Amino acid sequence: MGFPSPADDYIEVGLNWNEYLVKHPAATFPVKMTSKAMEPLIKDGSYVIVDKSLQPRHNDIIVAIYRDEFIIKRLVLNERGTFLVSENPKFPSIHIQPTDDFQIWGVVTFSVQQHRAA
Amino acid sequence: MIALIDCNSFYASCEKAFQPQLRNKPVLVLSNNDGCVIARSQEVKKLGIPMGVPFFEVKPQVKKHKVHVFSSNYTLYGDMSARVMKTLFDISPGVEVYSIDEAFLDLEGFQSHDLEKFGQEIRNTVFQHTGIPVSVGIAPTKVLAKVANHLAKSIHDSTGVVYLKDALTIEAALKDFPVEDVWGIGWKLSNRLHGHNIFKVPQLLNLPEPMVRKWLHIQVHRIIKELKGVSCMKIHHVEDARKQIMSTRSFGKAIFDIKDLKQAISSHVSHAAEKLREQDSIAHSITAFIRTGRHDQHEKYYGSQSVELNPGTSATNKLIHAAMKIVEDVYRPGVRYKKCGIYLSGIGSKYREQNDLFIPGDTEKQNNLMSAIDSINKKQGRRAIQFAACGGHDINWAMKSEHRSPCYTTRWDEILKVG
Repeated sequence: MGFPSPADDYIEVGLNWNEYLVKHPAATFPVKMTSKAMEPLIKDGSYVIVDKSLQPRHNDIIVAIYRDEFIIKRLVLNERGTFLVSENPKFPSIHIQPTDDFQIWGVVTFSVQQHRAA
Repeated sequence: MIALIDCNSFYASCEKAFQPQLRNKPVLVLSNNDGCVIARSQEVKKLGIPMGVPFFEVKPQVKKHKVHVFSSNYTLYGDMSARVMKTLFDISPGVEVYSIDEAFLDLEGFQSHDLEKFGQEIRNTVFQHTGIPVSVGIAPTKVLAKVANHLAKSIHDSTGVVYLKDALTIEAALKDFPVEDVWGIGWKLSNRLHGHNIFKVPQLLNLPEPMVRKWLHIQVHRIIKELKGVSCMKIHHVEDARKQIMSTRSFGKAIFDIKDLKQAISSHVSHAAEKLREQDSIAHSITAFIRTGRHDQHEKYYGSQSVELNPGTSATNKLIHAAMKIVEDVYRPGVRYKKCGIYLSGIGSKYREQNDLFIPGDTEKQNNLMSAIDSINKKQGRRAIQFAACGGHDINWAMKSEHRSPCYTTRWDEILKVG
């Protein structure tokens, strides 16, 4: 503070989680997972970070608009077409038809797993 | 060349962005206190429901056409605005934010033959990143960019981008353009012009110079010059202080210290608050931004946040308090700040707020009062108690909290829930 320290030349800014988790702040939105469809990967009730600026790729976890609703699924692209797959085998997968109301909203970059209740 | 980017039906689009089932549905936004229509989606405009009408007047139409009604959510709109502006800044740093949903973009250095395509890219990028649809007008001056943008929005089969690339295209665009739709020409001046048989822009441009100088305000001289393709306008000259008050400044030398930024922001707030009080208004939202320079070689940064002011206020100390919190939140050390500013929005008359039974700042009493009224209304029927002070309008005050959409981007307990 008031005295010169040998560490002065090495002072760096403290680590900021935002810098790691949010690469595109203007296009990044918080979402809360409200089903077990992606368990055990993303637990029901946990928060996910969604980046709308990223180009979606095969195997990405995405938020999509499907039949007027938001859903979170894994995007699977293969020779048979486009599929939205649940991680949880108890939940259905969706084979997207050409006439379906379907839009990719954003890519899930991180999900937050809490180990100790607040 | 200059681009004017303008969000389409901004408040209504903010509501639609988080509710996909409303994508093609009519959506309307109301002001909290007035109960007036302050935003309409394209579908509502088609129904003929005008802007600014008291809600009770259009209730039957709203019911008939199943229009979705929302109370204004300035916190959400301010945050979404910051996202749109930041997205534009990432495309090109020459951004001048004009209002909550409009910005000019300096396209100097961009190849002119690619600009139509570039305009489309801007539209697609902003929509993909933020969910907000925008229209783009590109022209050699700000006033003409506004003309282009207006055409982008109003021409039926428009692609959403209008590029006035040369004298011929400009002439064609202005041929039937009404004078009252020109940026900076208000209804008073248009009435004057109409009185002298001047209805379309070419008639205005044909007025002889000495007549223009004698008869019209200097601000109008600049507008005419710009319509003729000569760039001479600074953004603040035609600010519509009734909708939004802005105060911004570029620094001569870069600023690094948060203390200096806070000081600069405080003086902007005082300046804007004075204007607010001069027109007997209060604001419901304050946005502050700090950013790097347009031509900066180093790392670019644009930090901005909005804070809702509930109740609305014009008190400098309250506004400064909110602005300081924003600066603390968006400040990043090591960045060369070259510009900062604030804008106040959600501006309403202070008199309306006083007529309500709400005591400014006394939110707990306010909430208790609201709950008491709500519970009585629930037992006795929906409109057992109404506030008589609101100019005789039939306004259901339970609507104030019922119809506000969640703050999807600023409150943890209100974020999007997806299954």
